[in-house]
Amino acid sequence: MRIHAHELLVVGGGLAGTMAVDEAALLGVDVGWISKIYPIRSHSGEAQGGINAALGNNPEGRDDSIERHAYDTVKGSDFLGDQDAIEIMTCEAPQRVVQLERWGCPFSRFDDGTVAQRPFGGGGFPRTCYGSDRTGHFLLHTVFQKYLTMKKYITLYDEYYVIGLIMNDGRCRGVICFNMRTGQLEALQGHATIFATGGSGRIYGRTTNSYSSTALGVTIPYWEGIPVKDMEFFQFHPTSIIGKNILMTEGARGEGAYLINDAGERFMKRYAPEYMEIAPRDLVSRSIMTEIGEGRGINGGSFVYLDLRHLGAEKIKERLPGIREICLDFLGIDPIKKMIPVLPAAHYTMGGIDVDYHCRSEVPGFYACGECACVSVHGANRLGGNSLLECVVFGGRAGTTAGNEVKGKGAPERSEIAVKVLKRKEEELGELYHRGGSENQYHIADELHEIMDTKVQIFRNRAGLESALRAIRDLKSRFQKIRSVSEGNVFNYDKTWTLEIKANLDIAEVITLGALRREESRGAHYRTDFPSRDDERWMKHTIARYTESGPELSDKPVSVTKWQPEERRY
Amino acid sequence: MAAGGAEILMVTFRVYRYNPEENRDPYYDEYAVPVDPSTTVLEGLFYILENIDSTLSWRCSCRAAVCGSCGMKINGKYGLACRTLVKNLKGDLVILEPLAHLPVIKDLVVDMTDFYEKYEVIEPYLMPKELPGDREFRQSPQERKELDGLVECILCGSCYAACTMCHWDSDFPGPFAILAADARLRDGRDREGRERLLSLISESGIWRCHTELRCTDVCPKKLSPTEAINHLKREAVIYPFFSSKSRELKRREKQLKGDETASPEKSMNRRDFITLVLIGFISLATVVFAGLFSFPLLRRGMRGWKRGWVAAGPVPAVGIGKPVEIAYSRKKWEGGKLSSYPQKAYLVKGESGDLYAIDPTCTHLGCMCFWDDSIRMFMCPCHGGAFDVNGRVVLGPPPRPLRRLEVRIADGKLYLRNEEEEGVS
Repeated sequence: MRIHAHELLVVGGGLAGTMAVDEAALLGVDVGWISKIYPIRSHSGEAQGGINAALGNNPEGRDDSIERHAYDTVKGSDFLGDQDAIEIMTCEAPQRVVQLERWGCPFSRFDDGTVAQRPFGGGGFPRTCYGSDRTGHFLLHTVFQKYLTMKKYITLYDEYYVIGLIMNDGRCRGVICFNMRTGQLEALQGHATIFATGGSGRIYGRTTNSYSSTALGVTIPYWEGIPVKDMEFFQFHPTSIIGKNILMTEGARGEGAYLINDAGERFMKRYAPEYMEIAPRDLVSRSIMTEIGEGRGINGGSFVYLDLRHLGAEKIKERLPGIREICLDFLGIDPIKKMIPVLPAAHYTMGGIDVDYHCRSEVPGFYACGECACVSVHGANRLGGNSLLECVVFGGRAGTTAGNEVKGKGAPERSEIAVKVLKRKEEELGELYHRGGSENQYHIADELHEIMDTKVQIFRNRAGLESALRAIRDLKSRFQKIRSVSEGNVFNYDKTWTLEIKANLDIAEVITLGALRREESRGAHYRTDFPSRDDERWMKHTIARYTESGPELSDKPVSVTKWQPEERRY
Repeated sequence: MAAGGAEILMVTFRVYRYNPEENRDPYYDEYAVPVDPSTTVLEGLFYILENIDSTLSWRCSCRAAVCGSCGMKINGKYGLACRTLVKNLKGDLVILEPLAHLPVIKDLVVDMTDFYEKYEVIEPYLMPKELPGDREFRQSPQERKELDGLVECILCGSCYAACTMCHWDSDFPGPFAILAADARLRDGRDREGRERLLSLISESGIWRCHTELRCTDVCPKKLSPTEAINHLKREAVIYPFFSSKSRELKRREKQLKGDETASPEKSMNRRDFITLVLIGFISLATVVFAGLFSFPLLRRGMRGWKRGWVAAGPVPAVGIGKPVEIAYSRKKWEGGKLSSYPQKAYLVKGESGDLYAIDPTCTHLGCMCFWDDSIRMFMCPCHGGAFDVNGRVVLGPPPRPLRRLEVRIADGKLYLRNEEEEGVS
């Protein structure tokens, strides 16, 4: 039985997690860093478009300001974002981008040598800093390289799956991990734990997310009684390639690409006459689905075209080489010559573990940041370019806050609690892995995808959501009778996928219940039976707590500082 | 996963299997997998896991050729499973094997520890120059363009597995690591610049590459590590002459020894050096030419100890630790007649006052080294090899120290002898 101890534990190797590790190590804190895949394999690397910061580098956006960025974010969030947190994020944005540039991130450049910025959806200004269309990749590698310079403070546990928390006296005192190499459970003790486990896109079948982006990271604290917030708000990215649902960055539209329907028209003129293609994502996704629903999809089918051709070969090769590569690889289409068939796909989990703007949850010693957390800076709809920013700002803040809390305490002593929890988790997993039923867990996952893709989608209504809820609960009971997983301890992915499917089912239920309860349309959550926003009843967050009988929902107020809700037009 | 659409074909996936928990050698399993024209190898693997054999292990994450997890050997060629469409493999057999040069843990999962360590060793992070106030570094779009084709690497290991040199030399960092080093070398924001080459110009560094282009062939991101390696080779040749770091190191060493004559700034550039060598050769040739005519006379006169020794002119003044270039000629019987070759050597006075000469022929590939007084080393202009004043290897690919020549002074003249050569006199 192996027990490790560090002052601080960070779970997750993506941009937020690595940022937290870096910032904590800069304080000289002894960090245990846990990631289920090697850090640079994380989904942050798939982010393409860029990171928002009011640097004012673009000649057309010199008078951009932190306030304007904050206002755009508040408006984009459909007034559900906490305005104090948003102000913190936009205020820290310029210095964080400069920090990352100095750490070596190869941003694209303007002629005067400053970091290049381009327009993005829902932003009034060209404020999205980018490195061609591989910004996430560059940022992730940059913060990882920074980690390499500070290795003496950091112990990396890669290919360790966190499967539970060590809770005692109402505090989080560490985590229980599943070591992929040995198949054994190990306990890691720490005075504080930061979760940065990413989004839950794999609850859906049509998603731009990686296979690793499952709900497990959100579910572990949720199972231990830490509430989750606003899970019903799931962003659908307007443009993913058909079939594989790989992301086509919003940067393409930021650079001037068109969305075209079967009649060959730029249909966005009907929905957002001023912003056109660079309206916020919720609006563009709904517009595409409306076009498709009204029979104006290409050849009456369920996709539209993203047209880059007028940008010219040079601009495409220079600014959007990554998406060209994806089109060539997966569709056999060269966007210089042909239009790209696209449709919306599940993309970003606005909801997550309920934390404040210091990334603290209600349980002392437990922090969360990045996509798995809900601060909330994105409210009901996230703006493109704000997710990388959230990772950097709140990842950094979590590292600093938690780091300062534990600094100098030394690694915790081996506690009997950890051993006890470890044994309990071993029994729980043993039960999960030896159910001996006849159901195939992967087929259950496929059915869950089908339900979420059809009934908990961009357009929702009571009847659909209710039938989805019944179906999910039915799947949960069938999951009790799954076949036993394959034996073997070394790199047995059958075990980890099974656990992730279990988590996906639980969070799917929370999403559906939240969507059913919220009788209004706000941001990404659109109820056809309640098509308008209802600030009086619903300008509040949804909180969900785990109970044996299912999620228990309640409310939490939204923080408003400068901006009163107004009608949202683009 | 592979379902849907009309044109479904059955394809055989033959997959490398190894389980350390079984007492069994590696073997192959075959699975029948339905594929349509859009099915990727990765999706085929998921079909097997979900429907046929849940014990199969492989790494994956992004499925969009960005994360670099699913590098493996696919029908003999290294690449990413997610990016490879089954239909493009042409034929109904897909053979999947793990990455080479890394120990297999289970099935297609390999131990990447060595790989990541090699990435770390080349110090891929930016070592920034003095920070520009509270803003970002200024870098022109042209300077940024220099980094294109270098910073996109996803560390998937395909090039590492494909490189034959990674097989032969476990110290060779591998194409991906050198690519990352080149990215920093070309980055104007990095203060180390060419100094980064110091760790790469050893025998197991860039010179290990034999330009087989296998890395470039397999790279799923269409990058060219070969180009990066060749760029570094060019840099390595120019580098030592200007190396501020090695100069600085030597200067400090000198100061420690209390040598007053340390002159940190003096250095010779390449053109000056070539001019000097040319002038040297021309004057040398003249001397030798004149000497040739008088040779028969000389030959008759050589007796006693002079046999096997070559005259090298008057004895020059030489300070301790300050080698002086001397010219002499070596003669060889060729095609029935005696030919003469101009040679150079360095006369060195050791710390105890002993006198010896050094043959500056580089022991790597025979290029002519020269003494660079500013860094106090014998430098080879071809591959960046460097030797100290005693001829011992300091840097670079040379396998042996420089050859020493025996020295003797008689009648106010200097004589050299090379024991390995047949006595020509």
